[in-house]
Amino acid sequence: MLEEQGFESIPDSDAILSQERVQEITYDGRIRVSTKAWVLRIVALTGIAVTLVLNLHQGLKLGDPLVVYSTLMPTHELVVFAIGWLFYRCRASGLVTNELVSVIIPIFNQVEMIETVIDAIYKSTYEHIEVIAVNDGSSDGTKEILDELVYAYPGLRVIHKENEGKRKAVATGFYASKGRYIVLIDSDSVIDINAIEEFIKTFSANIKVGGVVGNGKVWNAGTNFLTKCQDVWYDYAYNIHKTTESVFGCVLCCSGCLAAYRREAIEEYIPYWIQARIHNSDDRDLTSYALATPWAKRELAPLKQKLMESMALYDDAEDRGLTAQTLVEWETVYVPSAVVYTDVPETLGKYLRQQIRWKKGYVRSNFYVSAFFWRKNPLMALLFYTEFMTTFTAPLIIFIIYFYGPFIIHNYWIPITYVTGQVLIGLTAGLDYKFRYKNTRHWMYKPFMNVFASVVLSWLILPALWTYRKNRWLTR
Amino acid sequence: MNIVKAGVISTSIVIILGFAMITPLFINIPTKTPQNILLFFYITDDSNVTDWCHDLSILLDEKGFRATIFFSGIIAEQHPECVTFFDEGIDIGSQTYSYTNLTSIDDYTRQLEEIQKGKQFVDDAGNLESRLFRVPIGYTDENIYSLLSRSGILADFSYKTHYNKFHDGQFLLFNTTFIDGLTISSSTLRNIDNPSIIFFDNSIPVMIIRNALSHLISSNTRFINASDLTGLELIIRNGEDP
Repeated sequence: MLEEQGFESIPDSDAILSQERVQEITYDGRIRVSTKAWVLRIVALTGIAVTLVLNLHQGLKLGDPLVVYSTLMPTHELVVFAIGWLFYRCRASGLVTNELVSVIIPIFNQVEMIETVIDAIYKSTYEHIEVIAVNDGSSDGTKEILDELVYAYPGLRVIHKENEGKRKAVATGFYASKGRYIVLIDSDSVIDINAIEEFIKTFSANIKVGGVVGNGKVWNAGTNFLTKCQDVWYDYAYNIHKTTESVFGCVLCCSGCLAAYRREAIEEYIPYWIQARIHNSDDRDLTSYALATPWAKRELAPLKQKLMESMALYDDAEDRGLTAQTLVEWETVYVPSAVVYTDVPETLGKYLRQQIRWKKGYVRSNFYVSAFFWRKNPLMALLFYTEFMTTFTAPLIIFIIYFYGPFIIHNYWIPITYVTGQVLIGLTAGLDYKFRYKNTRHWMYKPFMNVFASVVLSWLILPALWTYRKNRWLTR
Repeated sequence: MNIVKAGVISTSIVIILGFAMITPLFINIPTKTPQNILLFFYITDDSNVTDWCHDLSILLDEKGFRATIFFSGIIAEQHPECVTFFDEGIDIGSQTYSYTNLTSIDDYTRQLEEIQKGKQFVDDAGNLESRLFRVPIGYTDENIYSLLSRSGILADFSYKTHYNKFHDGQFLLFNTTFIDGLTISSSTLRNIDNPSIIFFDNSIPVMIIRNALSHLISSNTRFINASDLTGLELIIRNGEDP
């Protein structure tokens, strides 16, 4: 995309923000789509439902040993699509108050982008902000750039500290901040000018909302095949999957590229969170904490503390951990109108390392969340536990589909049916992307990405479990 | 409960449930469904009946094939030894007395008589009671069910796309496929329905039938007769009680 627009290296914030950016939100909070999209959606939902019923009927009739599993998977897809498409409403409908917002940027070796990132923050339409850039011992010249930026942006606070990981960088910024709302932005993410304002509107409209996540877009999507695939994958993750989670007030991961929390939703957790030994998914940890149930709250002294102490031992789920914290007694929601542009790995090696890191954080965070999530909305719980379960069973399923089925029991329909299903689901999600962002040319990569995710990414649970004690700062 | 213990329990349940849904696939390895084949033989030409039946009975006995053979009453009357060539495993059916087109007979009573008389001669020739039937020449109509039920017939193979089985006072329809034995080739087994009925008449030399049948033999092929297919005792030999 950037190459098509003439970019050769890191663009400035104006160039990034000039991309097609915001989905139109209707007066009642829906993401506006064309009639064509609704036709596609109805056809897709009907198709999945019919397939589900036929599969169940045939499976029971023929005594298919995989009937339960093969029914659960399309049920999951049906629920995700149906809830997200039919029931999602953006909650950014409140007043724009004048509360101080603290924007915290944990930074490590980000010499290329940091100026662009900070510049975009200062272009925000919401102006009552304090920006705290925490340099976590960068050694690539980031420190010098930050020191210069202080002069360009007088309100910018820069904190230099020794390298201790993302969590402690965030915590340092947190303790230095004064705002009622905390906005966390990754140092490679460029926020849209309306993003903070949309967050404020969401918090002011809903006193139960403790965490908010923005709409992650890939700014380097046009670089190569891999980034195009990630672009369409991000769209599914945010504009279909997170919309569904948001309907239940249970977005499980307020992603680190752009998330916001009420101070009171996470402040008790920060002391435990920063004790993490391993840094992989800080945002998920925070979100998970926020979402936990009243049971966790009632057990507060021994339980909440132990939960947080346990989760904070590792730093591979920093975002999920923060989210989990919020889940204890708050809702976490998705705001599609708060757009953030982030960059994604451009080589397969980096991408796989990122995925392994995310997978580690996912497993670790959900280990704790699974203890209470069954008390949430049954449909949301079904989605959560199905996805958690699939993370572990996926390698075996892939083995059955591509090897055991065709070569041992000579059932060639298993891989044919599975790949067809993956492609059709991918096509549906891809076309939905196309209908929401009419200029995108990456929608067609979604079917491939679905197959790639099942064939390749599902195996990453094995190296993730094998190396879960290793600790790295993002993909760098 | 400690959150760590709760996490261990919930995560364990999730993992165990996940694998419990998958492992039955490995425990109950499905055996390949056998290809059921019914061999049907019709006597349509009375010129070489005895030799043909004799050679056929030797072939079937030699290969251990279960099969079904249909005689008209007049053939059974003229060549009763033919019926006796076929022993255990071979079902004997009737095809009216005079091997005539039933639908060309206007009178119901005469139609019934054709069927009952044909059955009687087959039964007498083989000292058995035959309870399966096929119309000659393939012409039939809705009267057939009434005629057969009044003649003690339990299974009817008159149609090309299905057979009828008598159950609880009525004939029930079951799909099957009839295949001309002369069309059999080495690829037949890969393309046929299960079950399939492969038929030959006595205009085809037994040697050719032998060659044709060689294409059907495989470890997964099961040759069954009409009684096996229907689950009914369609032949009672030597006056045994049904």
